Amino acid sequence: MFPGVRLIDTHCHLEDWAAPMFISYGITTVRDTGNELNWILAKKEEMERPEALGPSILCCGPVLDGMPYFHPVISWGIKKDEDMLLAIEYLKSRKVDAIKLYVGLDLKKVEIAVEECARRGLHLLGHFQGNVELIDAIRAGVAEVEHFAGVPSFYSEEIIQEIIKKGAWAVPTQMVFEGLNFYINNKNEMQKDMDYIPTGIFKDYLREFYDVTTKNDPGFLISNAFFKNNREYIKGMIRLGGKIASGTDAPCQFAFPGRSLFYELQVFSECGMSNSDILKCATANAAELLGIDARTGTIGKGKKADMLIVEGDPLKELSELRSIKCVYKKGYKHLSDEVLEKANPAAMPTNHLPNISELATEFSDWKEKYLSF
Amino acid sequence: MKTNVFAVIPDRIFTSLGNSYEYGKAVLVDGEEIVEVISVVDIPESVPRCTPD
Repeated sequence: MFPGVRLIDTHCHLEDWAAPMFISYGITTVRDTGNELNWILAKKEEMERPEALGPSILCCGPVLDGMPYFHPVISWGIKKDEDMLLAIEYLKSRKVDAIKLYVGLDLKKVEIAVEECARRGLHLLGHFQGNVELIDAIRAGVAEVEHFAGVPSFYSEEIIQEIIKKGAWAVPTQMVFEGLNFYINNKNEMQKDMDYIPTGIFKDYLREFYDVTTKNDPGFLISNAFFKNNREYIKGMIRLGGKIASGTDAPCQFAFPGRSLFYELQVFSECGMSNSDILKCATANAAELLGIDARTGTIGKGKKADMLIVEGDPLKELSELRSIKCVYKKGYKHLSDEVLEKANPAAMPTNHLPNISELATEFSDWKEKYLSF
Repeated sequence: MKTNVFAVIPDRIFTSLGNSYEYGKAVLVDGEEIVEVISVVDIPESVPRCTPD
């Protein structure tokens, strides 16, 4: 039995070693939602080739954050209102696919970004937490929210209703909260992936694992509180018919590139979504969210020849999505094990980002340098 | 039809809506693009068949 489908991860932070792992699991398109700009644009170009050992990429470039910025190197800290306009103008000129706002911005800058992105025809997404509540970002016009960050620590149906009223999307990325639990419960199954993960990452993952085996680690407890609350929001979106797309935040924490998408879909199932709708979340809906549904997401005339061929029937049994026979990326046939053997991701660097001290990430410090391109 | 066309023949494929199957169909690929989704019986003899195994 070999159905054809194509999978999309709409929220990841790509690394060299992660690219082959995505394609080996049949994920033929990813959207990078925060990375060093020049690196991700070069990677995007490299992965355009059908035979390249990784997925096609859409990207946001850096995240636009407030001051102080949260993530060095992948954040541009926006202090002044006019810098938000310049940053968006510049990113548009570099042909990013969307703009991502981050946790340190105030509501005024979010509103400026909404207006500017609308004017320039750019999709706008955001991870909000602390300074801006998710519901206020939605009311301001942000088209997509990540992680259900910025919701209260209890379920509020008003938020779901607001998301739906505005026609906005949610990308829950439960794997960044639940990945560790999935690892604890599926350790044997995930061992194969561990063999392909670079040693440095492997050690980081394991350190995290051993730190929390007592279950008293604050990070673990916080993560658990998040995921339980967020599951209520996923259930609410499903119940009220909100728009959800698949994303994982891989390779952060225990969100293994590729495999974590299947676990994300399993969470959707546990929250009450039908297999049919789950498959749409990871294919047609994800393509619609990314604005590429005219070219991808479903199988039809004039679309890219991206296909995942699996043994079994994922409409009946979702886990059959993992019984992969082969993957077509733009008509080129990739075999999962061959991809991993050829690419040997375990031997790749764990991190491509430059030394933090070499790069100021407050936008006002270096915009002259960038804007003189 | 161009020269580098091949047919992928799964047992079934997802419909254009992506949430149900069609049977007896093949995906005709030309280079990077799907040029047609056709009945298996209509695949021209000159087109190589690529079974996914």
